[in-house]
Amino acid sequence: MSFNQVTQELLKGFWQNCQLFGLTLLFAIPLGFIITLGSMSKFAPLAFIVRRGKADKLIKIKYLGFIIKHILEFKPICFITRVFVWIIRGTPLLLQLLVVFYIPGLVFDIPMKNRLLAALIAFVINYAAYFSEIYRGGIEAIPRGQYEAGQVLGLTKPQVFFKIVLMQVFKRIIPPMGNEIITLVKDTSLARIIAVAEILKAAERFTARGLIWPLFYTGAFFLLFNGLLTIILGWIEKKFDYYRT
Amino acid sequence: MALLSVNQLKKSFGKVDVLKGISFDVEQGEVISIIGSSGSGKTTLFRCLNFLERADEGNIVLDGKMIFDGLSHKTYSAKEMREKQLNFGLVFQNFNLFPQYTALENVTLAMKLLAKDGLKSFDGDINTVASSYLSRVGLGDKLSFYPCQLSGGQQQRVAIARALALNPKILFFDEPTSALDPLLTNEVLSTLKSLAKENMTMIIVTHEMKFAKDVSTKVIYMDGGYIVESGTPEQIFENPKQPQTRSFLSSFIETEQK
Ligand SMILES: Nc1ncnc2c1ncn2[C@@H]1O[C@H](COP(=O)(O)OP(=O)(O)O)[C@@H](O)[C@H]1O
Ligand SMILES: [Mg+2]
Repeated sequence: MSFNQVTQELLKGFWQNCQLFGLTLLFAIPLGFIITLGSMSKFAPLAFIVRRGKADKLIKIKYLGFIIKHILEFKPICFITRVFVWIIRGTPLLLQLLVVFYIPGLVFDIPMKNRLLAALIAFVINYAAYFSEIYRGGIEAIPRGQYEAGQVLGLTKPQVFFKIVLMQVFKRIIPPMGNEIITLVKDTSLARIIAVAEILKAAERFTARGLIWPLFYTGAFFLLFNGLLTIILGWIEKKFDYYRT
Repeated sequence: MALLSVNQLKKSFGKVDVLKGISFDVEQGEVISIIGSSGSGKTTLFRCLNFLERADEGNIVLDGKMIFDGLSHKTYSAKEMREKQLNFGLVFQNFNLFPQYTALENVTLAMKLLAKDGLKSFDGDINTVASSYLSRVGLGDKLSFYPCQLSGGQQQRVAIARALALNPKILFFDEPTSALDPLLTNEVLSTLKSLAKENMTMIIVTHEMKFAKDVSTKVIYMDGGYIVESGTPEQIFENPKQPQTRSFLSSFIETEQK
């Protein structure tokens, strides 16, 4: 096996990693934002239904009032999204890959035929959950004074969000997003657990034939890719360097 | 008829009554200083007058028109509130400039959006109008500076220009110099003085007693959610009637001498 042949084979595998990486970002970045909206939702149907005056009386009941207040203020959308995020962040990505790949076949009798698609779904869900928390942190870090300054200048809520808050959120989330994105590059290798023919899988085929070095050689592909990403991310960060908050 | 008339404004947060019935009138061109120890409700009063909070009771009358009524405010639409908002301008203690925009952009942002929405119109090009406001507060040479490149006093003056540019009927200042050291305090105070000379109607919460004495047409002393005493600067500073006012002012003189 010549060096060139090995490189060719590994590149074929790495193309799978790149596809997973690119498509995951493409879908997880917007999906994360939708999850953020859910986790920040203030929609509380009970408080809405119960007339204010009545609710005030209920809340004042001794001991029970405290519980009633919590029930009335229950925010179902916020609750469901946060439980979802907790599950996704609280379990290994490896396990999530297996669940997405096997559960449709086991439970619904429709086996996942496309392994890459199964991996993509797991990655998108997982990364969207992480991104959503980064977005939420970024939005919540914007001082209330920014919203209030916009409001007293007569701007509408959407104008305040898009013209004032959003740019500041971008600046704040770039470094943590950069970390996650670089982690994603390496995480794509986990897809081999469901037999996606990614680069490590390709290298393992050589190992099975007694050739060890291609396995270590794969590291070079990741390093190169992440080196490039680091440069791009650094460049984006610099774009936002012209001001400080 | 008074330009602004505030009647029996009340506001509480949960069980804490912060404003317990505030009433006062403002005439066109008046400069009113509000003094009082911290926690007396001055900021809350400003927030209610600028609709950052909704008062629980009382009303606010501007130019003879009821713009806020504690009885019916829950029915106000967002659009209505936006129009009411534009009667006033508010300058914050910590400036609240938009960090990603230059001094000029900080001033033009709202001007452009309001012009687009048909809520305000400006004589001439918005950028030109905005630069003239920045020149007026002495920042004509700092148009393209970002807030982080400006001193605190300069940032506060950008904030003043930003509020002025929308042509509010009344401009509110909540401790505009409390975040500044003495040197920068003076440059902001002199900006306020020049606005007073131009007959801008202003209400200023301040701990700068000398400034309040020199510039105001009326001084209001607040304590515990009430207006304890109000009158001309001479009445309040030289001849306060209420013992609370006297002890507040004497504690102030002591700390200033330290
Ligand atoms: N959003 C709020 N929730 C609860 N209490 C508040 C809130 N805002 C102000 N207060 C209370 O109201 C009182 C008056 O505050 P404030 O209006 O800021 O006074 P001042 O500006 O005169 O120092 C303080 O005791 C403060 O703790
Ligand atoms: Mg205050």
